[in-house]
Amino acid sequence: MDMRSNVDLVDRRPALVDPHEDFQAITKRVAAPIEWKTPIGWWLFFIPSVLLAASYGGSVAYLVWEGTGIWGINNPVFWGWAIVNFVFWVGIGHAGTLISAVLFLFRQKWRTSINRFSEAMTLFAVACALSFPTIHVGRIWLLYWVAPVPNSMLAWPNFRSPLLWDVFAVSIYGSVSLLFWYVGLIPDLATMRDRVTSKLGKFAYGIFALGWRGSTRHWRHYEVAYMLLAGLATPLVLSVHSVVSFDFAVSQLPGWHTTIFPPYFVAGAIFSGFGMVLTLMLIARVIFKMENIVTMHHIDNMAKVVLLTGSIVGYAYAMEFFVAWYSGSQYELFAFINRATGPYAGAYWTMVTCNVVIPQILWFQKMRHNIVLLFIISIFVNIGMWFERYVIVITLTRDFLPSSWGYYSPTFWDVSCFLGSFGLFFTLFCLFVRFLPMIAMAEVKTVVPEADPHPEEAATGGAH
Amino acid sequence: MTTENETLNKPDIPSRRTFLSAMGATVASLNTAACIRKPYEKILPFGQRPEDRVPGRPEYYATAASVGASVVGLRVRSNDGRPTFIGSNKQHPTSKGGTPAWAQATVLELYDPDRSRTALMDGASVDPAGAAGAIRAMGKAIRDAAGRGLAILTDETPSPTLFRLMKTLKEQFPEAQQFRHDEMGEANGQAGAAMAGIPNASFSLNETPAVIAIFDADPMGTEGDTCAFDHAFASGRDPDAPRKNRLYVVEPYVSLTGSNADHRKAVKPSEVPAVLAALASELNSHGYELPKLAGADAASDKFVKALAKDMAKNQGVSMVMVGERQPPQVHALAHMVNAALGAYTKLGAWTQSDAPEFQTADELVAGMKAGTFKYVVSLSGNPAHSIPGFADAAEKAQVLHLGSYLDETARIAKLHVPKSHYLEAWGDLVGRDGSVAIQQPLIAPLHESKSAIEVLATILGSKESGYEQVRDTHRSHVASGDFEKSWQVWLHDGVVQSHPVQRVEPAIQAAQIEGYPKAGSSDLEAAFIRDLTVLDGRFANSPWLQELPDPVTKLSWDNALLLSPDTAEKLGLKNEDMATVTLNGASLDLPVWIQPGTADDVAVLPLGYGREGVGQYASSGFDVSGLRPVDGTWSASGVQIKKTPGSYRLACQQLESDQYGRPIVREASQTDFTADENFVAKFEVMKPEHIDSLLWEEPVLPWAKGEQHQWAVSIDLNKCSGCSACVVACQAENNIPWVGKSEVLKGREMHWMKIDRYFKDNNGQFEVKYQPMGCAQCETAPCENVCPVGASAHSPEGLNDMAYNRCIGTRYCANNCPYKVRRFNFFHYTVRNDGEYGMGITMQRNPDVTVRYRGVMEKCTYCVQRIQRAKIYQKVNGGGDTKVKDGAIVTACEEACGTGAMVFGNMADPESRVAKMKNNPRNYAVLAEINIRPRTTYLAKLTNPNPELAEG
Repeated sequence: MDMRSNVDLVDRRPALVDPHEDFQAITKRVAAPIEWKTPIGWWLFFIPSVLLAASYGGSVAYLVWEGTGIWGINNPVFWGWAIVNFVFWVGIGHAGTLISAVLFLFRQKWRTSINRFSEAMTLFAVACALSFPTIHVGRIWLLYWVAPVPNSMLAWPNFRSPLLWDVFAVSIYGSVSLLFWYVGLIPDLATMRDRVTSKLGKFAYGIFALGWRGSTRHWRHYEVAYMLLAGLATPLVLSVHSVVSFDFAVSQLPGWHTTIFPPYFVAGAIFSGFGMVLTLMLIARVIFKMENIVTMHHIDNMAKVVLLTGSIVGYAYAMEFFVAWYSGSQYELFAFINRATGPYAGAYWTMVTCNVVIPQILWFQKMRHNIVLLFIISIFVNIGMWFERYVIVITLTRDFLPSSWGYYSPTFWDVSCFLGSFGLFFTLFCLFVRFLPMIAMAEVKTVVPEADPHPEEAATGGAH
Repeated sequence: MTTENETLNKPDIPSRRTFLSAMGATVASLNTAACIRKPYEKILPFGQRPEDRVPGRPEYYATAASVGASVVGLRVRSNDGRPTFIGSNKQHPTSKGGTPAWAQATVLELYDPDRSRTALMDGASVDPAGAAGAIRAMGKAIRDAAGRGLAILTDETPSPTLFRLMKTLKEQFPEAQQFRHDEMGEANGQAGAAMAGIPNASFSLNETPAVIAIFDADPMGTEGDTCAFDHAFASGRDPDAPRKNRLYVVEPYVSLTGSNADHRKAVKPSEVPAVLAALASELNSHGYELPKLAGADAASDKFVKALAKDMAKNQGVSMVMVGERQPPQVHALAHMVNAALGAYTKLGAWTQSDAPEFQTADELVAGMKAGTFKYVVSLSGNPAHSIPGFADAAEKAQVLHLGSYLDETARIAKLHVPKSHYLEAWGDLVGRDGSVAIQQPLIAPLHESKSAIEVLATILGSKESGYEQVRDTHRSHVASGDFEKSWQVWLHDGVVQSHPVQRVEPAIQAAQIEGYPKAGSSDLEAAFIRDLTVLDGRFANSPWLQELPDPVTKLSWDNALLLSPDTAEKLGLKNEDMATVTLNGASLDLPVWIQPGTADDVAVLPLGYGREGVGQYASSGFDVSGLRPVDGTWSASGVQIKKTPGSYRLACQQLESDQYGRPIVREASQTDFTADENFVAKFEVMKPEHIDSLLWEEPVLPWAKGEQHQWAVSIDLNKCSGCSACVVACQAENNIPWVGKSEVLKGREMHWMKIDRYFKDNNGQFEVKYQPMGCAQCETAPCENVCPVGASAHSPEGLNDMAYNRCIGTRYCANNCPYKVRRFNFFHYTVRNDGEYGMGITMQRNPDVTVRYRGVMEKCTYCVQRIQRAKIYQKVNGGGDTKVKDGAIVTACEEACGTGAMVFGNMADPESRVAKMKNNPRNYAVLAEINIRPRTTYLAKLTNPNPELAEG
């Protein structure tokens, strides 16, 4: 029989990659963008990104020179867009680890086509995220005081502060993600080392390939290490955004001090992460002609995750209102009614529309398979999740004493820092797609039919 | 031909010194390329320490300041020779240990870089000797003419020495004429008193009346001895007070007094006289013989009837007060009412003034226009701005201007002489009760300035030293014994004990009053008011007072056209719209601010803002004085207001005025309090037993564990009038920067303490509630546990310490502060202040308090520097007893507060005032329900409404 049917012969599910792709074809296809002569299109993305990233650098330089007063923050809104952006980027950074670690442990093989891509996105998002709490402090040159560095004053950080937990949580997340991503890259780096012709390329890939030769022993060590790292990274998926949510939940402000925040933040983070993966992937698979590897099956799965997490987030929004009423606290109830009807109601309803209402379209398979529509929805998800954090932070405008209530509006520098962080993100991404295999070749090869050593058993319906 | 007009040009010692200095400058400029000669100065090392001077230990001197005829006794702190803080003098009888906000700000005024520094003759600077020579030459020239052609213009500064010199001048220059004009004065009040048969005398209130009826006056804010009135008023608000009081206010705008009223009636300015006439008329039916004026009964209503009944019931202890904004006839009627009610015999005393006879500003301008005066000596103020027509008339005379700024008058003056600040020059001030305080300088003049006493003495050709002049005035008051000894005692106490006081018994006849104002028009009326922070504009160049929000409107850095909500709606105006106000042919565009409680059809125009060319801050806002009628009256009808395109942002420091039903300011009427002493508990969101955690055992609180010092503050809302002096005092004590209008607009003001004010609609009656709010030093402080670097930590004495050096500026603490009383240095405000103010601000700064860097959080510390100083003093001098005595530590806000609303102390000591206040049934903590256990708690406010009016 024809081995190249549309059904994966191993587990009788639809094939994860186009059945016409074989080992060699996959290598060629994935390595192609690296081996091309730099296309004009890449420069069209890269140059604006670098300029934007440079404007971020300029904004930060001015910020450090002049003070955080250049932003719109004030009393009572001491945290503004910087923290909004931080949480936004950390959230986006969640999809990578979820896909690479959690789905790996659950043997979700469809992850292989998208894991490298989303892990890279995670890393770059975490880099953007880390930049914001760094620059948002008043005296950036003393930021190292949050690290437990032994000193003659015996002054230690305050381990009770959620901000300190943040420092540990996000930096650990960042380092584990980096390690995980790098370990996964090693076999592919070796492939690239063997394929590139330039001396410099051979040297650079060679260094980072760590002498990978593809021996069985190498594979065995690799897989054990990968499994262990996946195990290590999995709790981080839950912990990072839980800890980020503690920044708000551990405070005692109405609208912030809620126990629902950790799960709600994690769901929101996965939601926003998948939204961003979709945004990027939908573009990349077309530009780099990867439709055979990142199939509609992958896209469909991701859309389902978006629908699920979006609905969880919607449930959380509703539950917040219920708990605010149920708590009997007038401050709490006011905070939520104010969110929906106060001066910033526009932001609230933007958030609800983008995060809860629009993703409901994805109940229909036809919609999930409409690439253009999916792309638009993914943009809405990104917008909605940014607004969610904005709505949370803006709760500061009205807390306990009406005498201290105020308003908040961003300045030019808030906007320039936010847009600039996208510059940083896309710069890193452009470099990634140009110089590293954006799809895990070695892993994808394990899910093509050729990887199945016993196709005849599947054909005859025999068990393993 | 030499005329007298030219004598000012000819100083009598110009020659040698001027010549040498000019030559020196030429020679020096030739040599600068080669070398610079250092000035020859004597250095006095502290090897031999001046008496009482201990490095780092501040010294305190008693002195006094005045605005108009209101005298405030002060105890000023000097650090290493620099005045740094204006404290209050508890012994001074007309300020009773209080200081108004303006007095607090004078310490910064001293160092104002915009003060004029050298004398100017025709715009060119002259040295002090040259200026003095010119003045003396003028004196000589006038003496020959027996003073003909000389006009002396002064304000209402009640200085006995100035009065003595004026009388001497009148003797020596019989033809000279003396004029008086003061925007903060009481010309209408004086004229009214004269009509009632008590000329040249002043009334001082000694105890609180039981019923106070205020007619368009602001004795808490801008008129009279505000501190003494606040003190008397507060003494009648306590539930234990021997005499409780009730305050009725009839006024067109919301004054500070009106905002504290138990009953308030908003009427147009022109209707105020009718309401008083109606009261007089109503009192007739209670058996008093008072004139019945036309139209009086028409103005009578429930309010007036109830007030008359209340006043009659409290015969002898009820009193009417009329403000300067009303014409003399209304004052005269008030005196008759008071005399009939017997108020003047029991509540205070009338004192005869030593002031010589003065003519009015109108007469001066008329004389100047007629060419009567060749010389006009302006000893105070800025007449070219404040007296209509003065500037034009000044062309015919030579003006000698003694002033602090190069203002409008300085620019038209022949000779401008910088005026010494009261902290730089000797003087004396007599209060309304006849008490005299010596104005003792704390620092040598910073610039080439002279005091009014010195200038007058120079004109007289007398000794120039203000010190000797003041001593000469009071030498005669020591009948026997050692003058020097008495002098030392006076300087120490700040009050001259033996000064003779002439009491007068007012002989007021109930006569028909000529020309009593008729009831108002139906037009839109303008009400010009003194501003609550910069007054008539004399303090407009103070960045502290500009940034200090108006207690009622909460506007800072600007004035605005204040309108009632209905009037604004009728005119189609909303907040921050621009409107053109046209009056008497003049018009001005200014922004609109809607102030509930303002009478309908009244355009309230605060004076004192928008003065160009005075200083860097005074130009803020809009100068409404050009709209004012030329006769200087305070209200006018026939105003036209039109909306103009455009808007203007106003820096309001409190955007929300409603309490949203939250138990923040708790209050009850005196009657309800008597019925239920524990009424505050009814407001609690959570019962105390529900707050204690079930999860852990509550720790024993420090004051229960026998700790020696546990600091706390109690604020009696009954006694707080909202005057905001504490806010400025805090700013002075704690080196708090001002941030400017643009930053206030962003909500970044730095005041460690603010006065929250809430509006309330009580059955249609507009009410205002004040609540001082600063860091409450929570026992379980939400700010502390969230700081990642532990910059905010709890001290064993219960303070919520802020380690500025450790702060990295995450601002998490401020987010988590439920009172939002933490302040962040978004920019390097301190350095910005330095840039604007130069060395002056660095001289004012308190060396005991760290100056904060950009990116650092700050907040109220309970004046920890004062706590530490008192603890050290106690340890050194206590003979083994290290426990600080109650009252030994006075925080800056507490020191400024004349009513004792704020009390700081040790709550571990059950005998301390603060511990007793915490046991008061009215004691409550704001936001107690979130279990933060604040150390600052409040005593609930008690109102005292008239049951007849309270029913609505």
